[in-house]
Amino acid sequence: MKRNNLPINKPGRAAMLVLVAGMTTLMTGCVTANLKVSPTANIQNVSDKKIPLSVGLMLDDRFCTYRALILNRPLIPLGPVLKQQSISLCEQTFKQVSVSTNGVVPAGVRATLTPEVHRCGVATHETGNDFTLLLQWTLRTVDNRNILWMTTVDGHANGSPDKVYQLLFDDLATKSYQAFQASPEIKQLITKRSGTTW
Amino acid sequence: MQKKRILLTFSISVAFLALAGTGCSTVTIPQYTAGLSKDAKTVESQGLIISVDPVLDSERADTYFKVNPAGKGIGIIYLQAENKSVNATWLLDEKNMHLTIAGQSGDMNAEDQYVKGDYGKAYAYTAGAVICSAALLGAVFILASNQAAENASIIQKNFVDKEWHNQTLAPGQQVAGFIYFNLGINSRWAGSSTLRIDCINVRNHQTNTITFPLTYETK
Repeated sequence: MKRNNLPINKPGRAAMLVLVAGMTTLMTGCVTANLKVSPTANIQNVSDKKIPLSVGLMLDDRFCTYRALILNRPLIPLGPVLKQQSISLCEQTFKQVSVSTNGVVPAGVRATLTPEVHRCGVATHETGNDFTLLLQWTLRTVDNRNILWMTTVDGHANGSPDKVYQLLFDDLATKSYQAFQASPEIKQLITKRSGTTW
Repeated sequence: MQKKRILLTFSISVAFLALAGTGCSTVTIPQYTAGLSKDAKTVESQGLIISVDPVLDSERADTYFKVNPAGKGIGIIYLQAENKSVNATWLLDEKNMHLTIAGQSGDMNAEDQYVKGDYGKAYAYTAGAVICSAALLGAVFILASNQAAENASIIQKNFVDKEWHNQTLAPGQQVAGFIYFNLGINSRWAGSSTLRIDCINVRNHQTNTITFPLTYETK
């Protein structure tokens, strides 16, 4: 078909380009690389009393550089925020936290704790995004081999791009904190060490 | 002139059919409340009770996932576990859940099974918008494309919402969720496959392997 046979005029084509660009933005949920999230983990009903345990927080590259998928493409850089939030959360939860990003267990810790993104689902709307992020926490023995305890918390958030990430990380922080507090294996570890119940 | 008119009429029809095809509305998917079906298989071993229930009926698949699993090439299995032991804590991790299909070499574990969204319809409508012959028609295609992309993303996220949570199960605890396997389109996997779950007792690091032969009649 010859080009001039297409019944489209120049203003029409321009309008089309604007519409297609707008649609692409909508389909990607107005993604921006700059995620607005507080550097400190916001935990609801946080206790002044920290869990009396020294943990090695094991953060690997996969976690620290994680990107959530939109339209099956890795577009949202959640990794740096996940890293920052995990450190802040653990510092507010445990008496002592040593961070490792190279796989080597820090000296003097009683157990290791590893966060992992198990899955992330993002539904895109014209008004923003709807997130579900499954964050898995694994507590291992001090040699980082045997699993002592594992849980997966599901963070949910729905809203415009300027609010949704804060809501998501607030939900993840609170649920993770509650899971640490409720863990029978963490309680057992403390009892084993100090001989007292926590 | 006659050709142009036919082309225009055809384009309008396709555009409005596209819009109608997306349902013109946002899909909503309920939480899973159906529990185990009559096809569920239950095994108890060392105080750990596990029930496995492949979603083979189109009604459940459509209600709770809005997909045709065979057409999408995905196996959906509902899993329930309860720890009735008094001194064992069981690790139930998707990494240790393996599906072996008869006649196929190797197995797959549930951990690596990311369910992709079906954005083909959305892309097709976008293409329709780009090549469309008039801005008004393009706008209709764009509406259809946006709606299709939104619905595809909701369906994709729903798989995450309902997915099994990897965890250790202390005495008295119970848990339920779905695991997924990416299979070939129209695979008759549930007719002759085996689901093997290696459950590790984290207190003594011993493995309790529970096997479910899946031999359902498939259409």
